[in-house]
Amino acid sequence: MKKIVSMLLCFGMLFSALSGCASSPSTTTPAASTDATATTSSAPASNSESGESVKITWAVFDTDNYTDAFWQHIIDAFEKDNPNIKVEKVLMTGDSRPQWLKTQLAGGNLPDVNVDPVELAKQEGVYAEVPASMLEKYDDSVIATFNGKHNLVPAYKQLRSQVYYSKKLFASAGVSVPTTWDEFTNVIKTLKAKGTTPFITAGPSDVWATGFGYWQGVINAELENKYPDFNADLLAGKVKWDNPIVESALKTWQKWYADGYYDKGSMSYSYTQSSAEFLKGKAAMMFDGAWSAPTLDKTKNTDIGCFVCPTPSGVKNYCTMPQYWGVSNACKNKDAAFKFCEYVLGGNTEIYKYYLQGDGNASVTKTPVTYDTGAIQSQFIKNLDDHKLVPEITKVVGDTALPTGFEDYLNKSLQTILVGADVSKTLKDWDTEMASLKS
Amino acid sequence: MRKKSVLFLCPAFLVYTILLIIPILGAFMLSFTDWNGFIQSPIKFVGIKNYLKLFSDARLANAIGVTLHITVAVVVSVNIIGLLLALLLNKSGKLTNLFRGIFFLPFVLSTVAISFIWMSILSYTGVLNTMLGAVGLSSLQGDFIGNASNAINSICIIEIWRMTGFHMVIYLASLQTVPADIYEASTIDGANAIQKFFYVTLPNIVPGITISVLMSIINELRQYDIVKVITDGGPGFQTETITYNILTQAFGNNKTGYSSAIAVFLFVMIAAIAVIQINISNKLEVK
Repeated sequence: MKKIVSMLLCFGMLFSALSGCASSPSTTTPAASTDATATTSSAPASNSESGESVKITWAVFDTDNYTDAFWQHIIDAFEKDNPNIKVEKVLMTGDSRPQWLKTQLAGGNLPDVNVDPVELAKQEGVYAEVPASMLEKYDDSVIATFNGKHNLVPAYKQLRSQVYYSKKLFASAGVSVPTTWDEFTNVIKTLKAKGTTPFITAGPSDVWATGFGYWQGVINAELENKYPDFNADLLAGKVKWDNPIVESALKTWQKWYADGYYDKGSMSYSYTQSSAEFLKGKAAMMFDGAWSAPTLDKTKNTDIGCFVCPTPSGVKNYCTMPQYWGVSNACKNKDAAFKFCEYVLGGNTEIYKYYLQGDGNASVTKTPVTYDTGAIQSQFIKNLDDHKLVPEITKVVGDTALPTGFEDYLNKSLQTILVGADVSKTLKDWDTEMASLKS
Repeated sequence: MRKKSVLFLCPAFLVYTILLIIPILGAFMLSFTDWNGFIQSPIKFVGIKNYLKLFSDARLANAIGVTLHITVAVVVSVNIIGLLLALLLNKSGKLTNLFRGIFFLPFVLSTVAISFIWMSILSYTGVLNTMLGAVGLSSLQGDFIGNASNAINSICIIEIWRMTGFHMVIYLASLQTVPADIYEASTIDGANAIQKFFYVTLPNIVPGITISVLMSIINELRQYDIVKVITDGGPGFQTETITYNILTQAFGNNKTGYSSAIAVFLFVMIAAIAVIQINISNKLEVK
């Protein structure tokens, strides 16, 4: 009896192990070791042009604005107008979309259409070249070139950051929106003196958020003003990170933290926590992105306003982050994939408007696409009227992009600077790390 | 007969070879290249350049320091506390099994899940600070995650909480192997409880100590999950561990060749510690 039970258990384990090793019904094909291109998980199917049904996969991500329903609305609209093309969402998980995409590429499962493909686009052969006729629709300034090729479809421009502030806390402290650097520092000191914490930010679990806003609004602005071709000059060795502009700005920021101008718990908060604490009134100001404006408008928040952070030299510029979509070079239905990109990114004006409106982004088409904005988002856009557009150093795309890994290194480094690291030494380390990552 | 019994070893040997030996050899070979991890990119042999870089990498040096800090703190704590708990729970009683289960429970829970739970406890606006404020101990409130030294200690505490039960079980098994007649003989000779522990228990559980200490060292030298969820190696780089550094280099910086060199370095470090410890234990073991 014991023998029979043991045999049955052994066969049961063997069976379940073999079932686990069996491939799934989906059509994932393993990456060929000799094939130079990645494979895709889309079903091999006939060309959509011939009217037969094809399926493409689309990598998307989740935020407060970009929900599952949001993406599905876009898919439903496209499929209604293109019934022979089916689009399947693939959710990018984890805190790094480029790393997720790279993992999928390594596993031969790169989705056909990728959102946030910029890091992977640096590798030759990952994304297909965009048809020239398609690129004609977009501003020349956002067309990205990698190794002489255009392999990304421009999607939108994100207006990056401003200082969001609590009107109630400003009024209690008797301060108003500053327009110069001296006024800004006076506002900070007055708030502190009146018992209101001036700033709040996020810590390790959202490393990008710690220096966000101060980097774009102050350091990027000053560097681009002094060195209009900063990225090219940096990569050529003509300028270094270890320069007086960066050092002075970071030392000021570090002193704010040391003097208690930041909420004490900032370095333990996630970005979501810090946003929630800011809205609860834990601090008077928070550097935050353009995406927060439509979210605040949706909740009809009338207490929060925004202004562009003044700069020490008085320069008035702002940066945008261009975002792109990419079509995998291994996609078996490239026509369908590019058709989908074209439809969403300007081909259907209503859907493009819907896509831009979701996160408060700006269009990149030669014919601008605008949409109704709420009070805070309108204020955000209006604040930039007399400001000049400059590149964002860490988000430049193409041949003058910073080496892969440097942006993450810089964001982490900003955290160490905020909590007291030696600024001069750290900036020398930045130059060393740049050289190491370039090699 | 011998040939037939060897055949039964084949499946396990194949799995072991494919999933362990081949990847280790692959990593060793990649450590001499500058490969960036993409199939499309060529693999170029660079000799020992990656290994030379190990000695000048300040970020890696910091990661080694953090890893050793966590390892020493956790290894010492889990083994001492684990042994104490095992001694207390060695004799069977009404609630013995219940307490054994309670102490072992953290080990079976998902590391990521418990990391998120501890984050909600240790966050500045979390449960711990709220409770301290509620009982009038506001002076003890602090930033247990965002402050670098607090963050490392927090990681150590979570890891000690998680692993103590597992080591308690190892020591329980070891204590069961100590012959009862030796205790009887020592009682007759007039030994007290402390003397019994040092002269009877400890010498006889050296193999168990070896296994427990070795496993805890290997485990902590590979620390990643709790660091990733709670601090993401931060603030800045101040709680990055060696494994965190390996993954950052491979997937963040596209330096698969260099990350393989760090992985080989970690492998050699663990192997060296294991060999040294086993040699010491062999000398201390009661034959």
